[in-house]
Amino acid sequence: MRRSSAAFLIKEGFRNIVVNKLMSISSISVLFSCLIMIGSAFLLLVNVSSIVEGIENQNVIAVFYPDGVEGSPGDDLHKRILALDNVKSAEFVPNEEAYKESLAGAGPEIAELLGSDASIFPDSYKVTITDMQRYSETVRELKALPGVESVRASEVLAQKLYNIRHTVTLISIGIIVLLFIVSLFIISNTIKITMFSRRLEIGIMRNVGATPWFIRLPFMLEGMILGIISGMLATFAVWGIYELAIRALADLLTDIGERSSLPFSHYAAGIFVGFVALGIVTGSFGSFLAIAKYLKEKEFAVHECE
Amino acid sequence: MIEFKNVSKVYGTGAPALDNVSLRIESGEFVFIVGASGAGKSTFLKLMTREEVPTSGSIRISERVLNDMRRSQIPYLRRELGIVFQDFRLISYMTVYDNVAFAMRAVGAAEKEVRQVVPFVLGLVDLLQKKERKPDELSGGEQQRVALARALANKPKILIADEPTGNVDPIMSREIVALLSRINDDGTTVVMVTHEHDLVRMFNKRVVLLDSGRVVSDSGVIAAKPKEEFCPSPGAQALLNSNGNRFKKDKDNKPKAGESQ
Repeated sequence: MRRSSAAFLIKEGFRNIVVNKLMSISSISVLFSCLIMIGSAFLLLVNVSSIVEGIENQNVIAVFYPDGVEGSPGDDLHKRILALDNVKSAEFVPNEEAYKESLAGAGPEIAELLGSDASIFPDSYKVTITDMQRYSETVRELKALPGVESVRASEVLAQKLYNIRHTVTLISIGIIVLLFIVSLFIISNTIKITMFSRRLEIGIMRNVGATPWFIRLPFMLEGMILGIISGMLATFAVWGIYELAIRALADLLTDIGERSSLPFSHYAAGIFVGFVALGIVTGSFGSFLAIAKYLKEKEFAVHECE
Repeated sequence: MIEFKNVSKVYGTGAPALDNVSLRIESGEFVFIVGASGAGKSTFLKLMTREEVPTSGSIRISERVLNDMRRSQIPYLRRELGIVFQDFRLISYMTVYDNVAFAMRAVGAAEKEVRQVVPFVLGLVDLLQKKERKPDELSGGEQQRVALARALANKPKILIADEPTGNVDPIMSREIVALLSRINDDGTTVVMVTHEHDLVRMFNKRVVLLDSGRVVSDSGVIAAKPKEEFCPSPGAQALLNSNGNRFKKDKDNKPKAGESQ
């Protein structure tokens, strides 16, 4: 494409935005709102996943072996545990450590009961797993391993955590997909209105022999510009909303565990790029849909551009 | 060269808008297509610009057969045609210069070429001094001349003027046809659709009369059909009567030598 043609197309794209100022502002506003909701859904998803993952990591499976067997890291049992495909890690926990952990979490009365003899606690392996959906199956496999006396696991909690994470993921993805479709319609409608207001220019372009792509490009560019502006504004808005939200929910998060919320800076670049990319995709694709329909309806009309 | 061979066009299940039309317009000719409302003039132009395809028959413009033309080729056909409409269709927020330049930019012309061609075509229509004006600052005749300059900007082989004098006064109408005639003198084929009989009479050009979708006369000839088969509508009859000696028999269905200005 010639430089002069590119300049013409870009100029036309910007002209469309300026000529339809009100429509452009309203579509930026609605697209901006959609992106804020998409961003909020995404941040909710990553935070809930992070919290659930933290709890899941604490919900370890303890594997015990019979008295009299000397366990140690790297022994046969340890290897057999690690050989299971869903096992992420298996940490050897000597009884002294188990005793210390129990003391740390116990009140003075329990501590008195426990006394100072660590041998009442058995050695064990602390096992974490990869796929929580296969929690029960993995527990069964652990129980079946030779040399294992017993396994302590909280399957009900694991199932609940899995359900929470699964539900939040589904809802968030649903919201994101829905809002993406809404964004497409918004951009598509804006471009339809722009095309209606520019039907004379489109008609002239058709008369003089402009190719369909040459007619389409300024409108697609317009959609992309609207998308980029909305994406940039939405990134800053989501940042602000997120900071306000984590300040308001700080106490609640502390009560849930020791973990705090994920800092926005971890996701800022991703959200910015994602929003701008989403803006470009919705903008150009929404415009493409609108103008494809318009050009198809009017096809090669020369005498009906009014 | 424009060639219609036994072309018929039927919209839906209605009567044919064009009925077995055969017509040949040579390169460099000036032809008036005249007829009353509903005679098929618009359909004739729509078929020429490939806005519509014929129900039967074939249409050729230069080397292009329009019937089986691929859709992707239509813009390139249009680049060989310059089209002028009755309602000017100028872009109100653009200057005269930009209106003309728009036609070139829309087909990807280089800016250097635009800077050369636009003043030239504005000079042809005598509007160079008004190139910075907006359309609403011009008279109807001037607006039509801008539209004409725009149609000429891409150097078309064929200029199609669809009732170009419909919105201008009689004096300006004559000037516009005179201008089209000068453009024709430079070798551009001109096809002008009009229903202004008086205007047609003023210029010594080939006249094709359409009635009820048929070519009932070509330069005054009721040639294609025997008299008993042809029953012109009152409008067509009035036109035939009013044109007197302009509608003479021509067996070849072609313009007679010496008819051009």
